[in-house]
Amino acid sequence: MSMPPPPPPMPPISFIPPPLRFRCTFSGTICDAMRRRGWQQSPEPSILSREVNSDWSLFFCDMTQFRDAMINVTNYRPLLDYQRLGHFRNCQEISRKNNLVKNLKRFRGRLERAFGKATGDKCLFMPETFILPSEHSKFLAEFRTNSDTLWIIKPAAGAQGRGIFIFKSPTDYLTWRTTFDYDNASNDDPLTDNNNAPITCVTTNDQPQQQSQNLSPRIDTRADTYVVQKYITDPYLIGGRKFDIRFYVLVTSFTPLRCYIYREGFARFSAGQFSLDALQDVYIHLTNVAIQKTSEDYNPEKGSKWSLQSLREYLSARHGREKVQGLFNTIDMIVIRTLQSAVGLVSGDPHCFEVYGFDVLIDRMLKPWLLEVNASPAFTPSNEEDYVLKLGLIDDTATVLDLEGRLTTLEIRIGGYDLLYDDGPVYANPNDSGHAIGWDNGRKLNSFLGCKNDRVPQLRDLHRSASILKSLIPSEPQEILKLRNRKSNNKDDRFLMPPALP
Amino acid sequence: MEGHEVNIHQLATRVSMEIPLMLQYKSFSNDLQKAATSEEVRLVDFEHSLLHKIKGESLDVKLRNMVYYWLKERCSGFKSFTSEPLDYMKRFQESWEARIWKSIISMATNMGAPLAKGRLNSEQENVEENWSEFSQWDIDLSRFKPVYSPKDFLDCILHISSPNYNLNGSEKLWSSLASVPIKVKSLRELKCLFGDLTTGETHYGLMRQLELDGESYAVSSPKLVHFQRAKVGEIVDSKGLAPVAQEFLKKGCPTALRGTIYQHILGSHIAKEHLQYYHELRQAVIKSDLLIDRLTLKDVQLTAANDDQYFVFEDSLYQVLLCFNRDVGLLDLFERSNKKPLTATCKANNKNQDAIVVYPPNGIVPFHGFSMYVAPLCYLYDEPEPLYFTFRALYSRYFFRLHEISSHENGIVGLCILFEKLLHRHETQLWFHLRSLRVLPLRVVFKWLMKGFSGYLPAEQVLQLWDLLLAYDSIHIFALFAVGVLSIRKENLMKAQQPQIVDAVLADLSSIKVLPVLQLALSKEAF
Repeated sequence: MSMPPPPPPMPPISFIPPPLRFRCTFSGTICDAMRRRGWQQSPEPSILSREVNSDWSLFFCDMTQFRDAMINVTNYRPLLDYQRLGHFRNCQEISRKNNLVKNLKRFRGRLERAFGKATGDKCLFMPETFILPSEHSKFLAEFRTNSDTLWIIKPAAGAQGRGIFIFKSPTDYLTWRTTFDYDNASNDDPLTDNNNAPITCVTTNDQPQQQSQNLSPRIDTRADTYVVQKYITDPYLIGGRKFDIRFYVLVTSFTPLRCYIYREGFARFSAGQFSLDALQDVYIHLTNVAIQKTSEDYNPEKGSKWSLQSLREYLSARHGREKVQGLFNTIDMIVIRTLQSAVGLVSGDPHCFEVYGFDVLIDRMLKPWLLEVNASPAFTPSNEEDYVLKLGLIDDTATVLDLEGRLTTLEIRIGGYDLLYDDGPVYANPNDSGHAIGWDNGRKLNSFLGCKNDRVPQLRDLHRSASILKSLIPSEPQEILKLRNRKSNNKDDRFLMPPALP
Repeated sequence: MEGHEVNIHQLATRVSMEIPLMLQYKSFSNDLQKAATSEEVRLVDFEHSLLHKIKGESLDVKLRNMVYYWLKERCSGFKSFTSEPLDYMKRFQESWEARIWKSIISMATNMGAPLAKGRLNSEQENVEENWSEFSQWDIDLSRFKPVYSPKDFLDCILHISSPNYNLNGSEKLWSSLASVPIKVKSLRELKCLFGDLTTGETHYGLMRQLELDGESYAVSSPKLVHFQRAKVGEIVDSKGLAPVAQEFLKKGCPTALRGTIYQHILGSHIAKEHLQYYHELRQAVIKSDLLIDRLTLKDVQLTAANDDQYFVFEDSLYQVLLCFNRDVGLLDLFERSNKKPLTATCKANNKNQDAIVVYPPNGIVPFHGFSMYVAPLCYLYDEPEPLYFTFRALYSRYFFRLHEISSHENGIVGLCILFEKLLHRHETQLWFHLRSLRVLPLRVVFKWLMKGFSGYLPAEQVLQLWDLLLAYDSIHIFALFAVGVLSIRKENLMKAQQPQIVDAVLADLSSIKVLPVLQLALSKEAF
């Protein structure tokens, strides 16, 4: 396979007539955020007429709509240069758990061949995982040898904690297996995204699921593939409770990889004290908001979340800043490696962008573990604070996409987003080697996860300086690209570059 | 230092009498006896060889620390008096206590619940099982409400007036507490006391702030400060001398070390005796059921469990506070304060005579927001034991004076007067503006002072403030900080034309940073 050609230079923006229009089928936060920017919502076409209206510039779609949009595109009307779609064609390469596992395994092999085992092993940030049914026999072998390990089974495309099952003894596994008939399993439906049949004893909320099944006109919505994973038995506990962290990464292009990481995020706590005795108690083991919401003592006003900033404060208070910075550096690496593993597999359509929600668990040794990557993170706010966060997130996403043409593309920080990777790692301070500013472990990537998000004044300054810059620098795209070239000749950088595809 | 007044001989006698009562003493004396019987100690040169051995085992550090803890805790009474010298203060405290007692009794009768009762065996098991998960415990608390809030307490304090003191017209105008003649420090004296804060040397807390804002890259040499503080901190920690640790805290502390540094200063390093003591308290919780417990649970539910920062620690708070309610060791506090513990008669099982007991066992009735004294400490310790003993030491050194009426300089009344005097003198314009709106500045800041700003500032900032409280061993820092907060919001306060707007301007302190505000307050011209 050869590297795909680089994307065409940024389309000229000037011809879009204001006000800009967006299309979005889910109401709520997204619409609020876009209207605040002064955009108008494009009316939805009626379901019967398959007519596409193309007066939108930005379309926040779900996967079905994405498929429709793309089919329409290929059939009779290509997307216009300025139009942007909120998904990549095959984002399941990382958002489905089985694909993520497969790709990471493959990517690790590539890294190992290119840079040696040490670099490859840095990709071991997921607990040992097997894909069912394809790796069933491998799993059984492992399962028999390590009889003390706890395992967790998750549907490959499940969301919101549905169908998750934790077990240790073979009998539990066998019971689970008999409820599920492998012979009829068909795992060739890559577009199934978040519906799956309720299977196990701990399935909690059937209602929303049935709704969505009725809504989506899909023929076959069975998600038959499962992943079985070593359960992390020593998560980091705060006040005796387990938590995972969720943060957002915006990918504007996979070829070459260009991604931004959002400063804000949150830690989600489980309701009860963590203990390995009560394996059936989902409230203890799962931290998803969707699960916790069904818990009896869930209080929507108080939530069960900490902002990442609070978490960072807490961890620094416990372990000192060096260790915590080390933890967050590792998380940056997880983001880069995960996205790199999908480069070449996800289509390089320049019209696409995507906001991924990364779920990471921290264990007692302050080692982060990647749990999953969500291609359609929930934008429904759970409380006031959450609403503000998500409003800012969406607003900044639109600013990064820059359909208004206000930025210069030279920015490495836009609102709450920090440019983490742009065809090569981006550093916080490109001019020094890192040791001068107090980081003993080399240069600091341009990522400020859990730092203060003062996006409003930052955006104000940004727009001001961008308008000045634009009057100063030549406007030819080539010249801008030259200025944008952030590649350094630091030799450590090559470890951060993806190895050439075989 | 109050200690200076006391005859040194008397002091020495008291030290030698009271130190054996301290929790750490038992393990110390065991170690000492072991050291004395070791081979290195010879009969010929007993004194020198024993001292040498003691130093070698760093038992001298333990002894020094014990004297230090004793001085800080036991010896901080009133000047030349052991208890409250002013009669009218005593009367006010008594009538306040009577009010509290009345409301507890009426609550108990309304609920039809006894003040205290033993638990049945089955209940005991239930409690033990739920020990780490009181938040999941199913108790109906809807009918309980906190006995008193900071507002009630302030109303009571504002009525205090000295019968010996006649106000003239101008004094009435400026202060609400002018009729209570307690001598407080002037800004000049505070400047001397907190001099190290204003010398312009780098403070660790200031550096940290830059880092969390993600801007440490703009600053050229935070590394040096970090590195130096971390190294010094490690040495201080390894030596374990309490006064040195206290001095170290003055320039800020690397966050990871804060927990142990606090333990050094407060003497809450966990020894076997501590574990034993805590275990006994825990057993007491399991065996008995107090009405006060419900109040504690309710208070945590209303405050910490509803707080974005602290809700995670709900269970830890229960574990600490329920034990705290039963800690009879805290009754010592009443010897050097103006408080009298409330007493109840206890129906004895087999004897005819009813016994008088203190209720609640520790003599302290929690107010609305009491759990905020513990909550920030949850950031420092995972285990309940160090959390408990650190909180206990902090409480018995400083916080117990924040909810009693006394003429002690470090008491809440003294703090209020200090605050009013500072604001009146150094923010005169603001003072008169607020008074013209019929706002009493004390009303806004009282709850901050009473809870040591916990629950109003972000946890890290509260801990930085408490760092300074411990480092300078002076609770006056709260009053000074309160003045600083008002001055930093002065611009907006001056624009306010209605009392509600004043409240709104001061409602959210989450953006306030402790050190710059304190430096601002200290930089005012003293005249």
